[in-house]
Order: sequence, then C-alpha cells, then structure tokens
Amino acid sequence: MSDEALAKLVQEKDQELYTEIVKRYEKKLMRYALSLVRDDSKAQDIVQNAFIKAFVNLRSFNQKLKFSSWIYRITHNEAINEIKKYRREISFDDVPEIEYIPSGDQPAEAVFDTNQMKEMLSESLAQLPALYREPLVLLFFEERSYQEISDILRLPIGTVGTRINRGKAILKTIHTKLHGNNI
Amino acid sequence: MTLEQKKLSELIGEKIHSHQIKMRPRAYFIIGAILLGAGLTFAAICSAFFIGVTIFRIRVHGPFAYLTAGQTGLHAFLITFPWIPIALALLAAALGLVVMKKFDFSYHHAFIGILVGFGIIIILMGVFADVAELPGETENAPLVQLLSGIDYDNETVLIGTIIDVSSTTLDIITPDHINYRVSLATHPTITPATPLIKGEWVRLLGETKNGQFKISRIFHQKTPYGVPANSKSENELMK
Repeated sequence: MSDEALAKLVQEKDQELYTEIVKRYEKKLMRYALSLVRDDSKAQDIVQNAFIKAFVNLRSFNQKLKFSSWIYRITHNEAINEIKKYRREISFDDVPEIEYIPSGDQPAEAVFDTNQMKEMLSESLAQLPALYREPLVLLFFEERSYQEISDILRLPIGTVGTRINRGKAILKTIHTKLHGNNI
Repeated sequence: MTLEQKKLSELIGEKIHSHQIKMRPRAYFIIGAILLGAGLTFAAICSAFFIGVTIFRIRVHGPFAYLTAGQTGLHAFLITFPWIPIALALLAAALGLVVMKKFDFSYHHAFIGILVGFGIIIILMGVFADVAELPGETENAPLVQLLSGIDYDNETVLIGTIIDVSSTTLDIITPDHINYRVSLATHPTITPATPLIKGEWVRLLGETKNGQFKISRIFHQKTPYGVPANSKSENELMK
C-alpha cells in the first residue's frame, strides 16, 4: 500500500494504523535529522515531534502530493526550530573562508561520480553550510528528486539546482584541501 | 525491527490510543485557508486604498510644487507629502506578502516575481480607487482623516476654494467648510501668473505669525477631479 493510501486510511478509518507510517519513515527521518543537527538525542526529539505534528495535522495533507515530501518538510521545520533554539549549527559565518578553486572545464559531477559525492558528503558534512548541506543530503542520502527537494525546502526548483551545484563545488574544494588533488 | 524503532512506533501508538494526541478536524484547515485568503484580500485592499489616498493627496495638495519656494516651501512639502498613507500602503503590502508565503504556490516561483506581480496589482487597484474618487468620498471619516493625515490648513499651507477675491483680500473655504480671509498685502507670487477667479482651487504657501497667515505664494489651478464632495461647485461660488 502506498504512503498516500495509508495516510488516507489513517485519516478516515483507523488512526492507529499511523504506527505503520512511523515504522516506514523513522529510519529515514532519523538519518535526515542527524545530518542537520549532528546530535543523536536531539535528532530523536526532532523525529518524535515531527511524527506527532504530522499526526495532529494529517487532515491537512493533500493526497495529490507526495506524502514523503510532506513529512520530510515537517521534519525539516522541526530541525530548523531546534537549531535556532540551541544554536548548535555551525553558521556560514563560522566556517573558515573556503576558497573556491575552479575545476577547469569539467563540472564537478564529471570528475566525481555519485558514490564519490556521497563519500565526500559524509566526510565533510560538518564543514558544509546548512544552505548547501540540506539539498545535498536530500539528493544523495535520501535520494529525493529535485521536485521533492523543492517541496521539502519550499524553494523554487531553479534555486534547488543552484544550491546543489554550488554545494558540490564547495564539497570538491573541501575534498581537495583535505586530500590534495588525488581523487 | 530495532529496539528504538519499536519504542518510537509503540510510543506514538500509545499516545494515539490514549488520545494524548488528536488529529485536528478538516474544518480547522478549511477555516484556516479561508482566514488566510481573507487576510490576503484585506491586506491588498488596504494597501490599494492607501495608494489611492496617496495619489489623491499628491493631486490635491501638490506637495512637489512647494519645493521651488525655499525653506518655507520645504516645510510645506514635508507637511503635505502623504507620508502616512505611503507607510500604511507599504505595511499592508508587506503583511500581504507575509500571508502569501503561507500558500504553497508561493515557492514554486521566484519570490521576486510574486513581489512585482503583487505590487503591480495593488498599484493598479490604487489608481482605480483614486479614479473612482474613493479617497475623496471617504476623507471626512474620522479614521481616514487620522490615518491619511489630510490637513487643509496648517502653519504653512492653506488649501481650498476661492469664495471671493479683491485686490487686498482673498476669501477661501476649505473642504472642511472653514472660511478664511487672508490678506494679499504681502504681494505673493501667483503661479501661474494669471488672475485668480472665484470658485477656483488654490493652495496658499506662507507662514503663520502672531495668529495671522502671511502668504508668500499662491498656486492656483482648475479644481481637480476628486475634490471632496462637500466642496461647493465652481458654478455655485461664481454666482
């Protein structure tokens, strides 16, 4: 049964089926929350609050849209609230100035494939500003499409693309600083 | 299933079962959407109304003309320029944009496009409000007077319609129905340099000293459309 059909069933027939949605999404949302706050207990609080909020507001979910985008959006908002509350995030101002080294004629994706990107992202997550971290995590770890990322982060698709490209370039710069030019 | 997974799904399940958490009814969201829409509409209308008042004030008070008249003119400009209506129009427009961001469509497009589109719509609505003489019709309402800062007589400017004119005096009635007789002994500059006639709309620039208004300049023109409905018509005044 699809998430959307399950959500409809929970809305209209059996609210206790919501635990099935929790089981389906807990791991993914935990991973996503952890990538934003980098603290296990805070991530758990975020995910729990997100599930509660999603349940309370389930009747506002429009079944024509993707349920995953909707619940990721709620988790994103909870994580942002937590970050603002505790200021644990390394803000863009705190990140040492990263000099952008042009890669010549080849764009970043031609030099690094998806798996390498994932590796670089895992390694350098903490150093990446949230502005770029969020869409890259959603793209590489959560395997969301650009449209889904647009719905989750409430950004135009063009902006999502720009931030992903810029984030990849910064990742490449960080990687080069850490490992030299050895790929 | 890990222990943590079981615990969280069980925890949520228990909260649902014991009604610690409850789903909001659909009506809650429908009412919310209606209120958002009403809020956006109200903000747009308010903004458009105050844009209409701004246009009306600029036409009727002509503040920019005073800038050629030195220090007194600058003071008159600062008093007659519609600062409050502009501020209120911008505030209402800003609130409208805040409300608009709550709607899902708002992030599908670049926000600058929405900003420009919304701005164009409320400006057009404001122009329409002015053409429809809405500011003129409502200017006697105390709230509108308070918010618009309409002031036809102050220490630097006197605005109204000529009731009578002679070589030494000028009788004026303001849209507030207050009569003034001012002396022309100061030989004020008249712009344009044509005779003053009864029933004409005038703006007098000067200074109030010892309770007397001393004119330095007179700006006269045909009565602009949208002059408050309670003013006497040109034909009535010229009888």
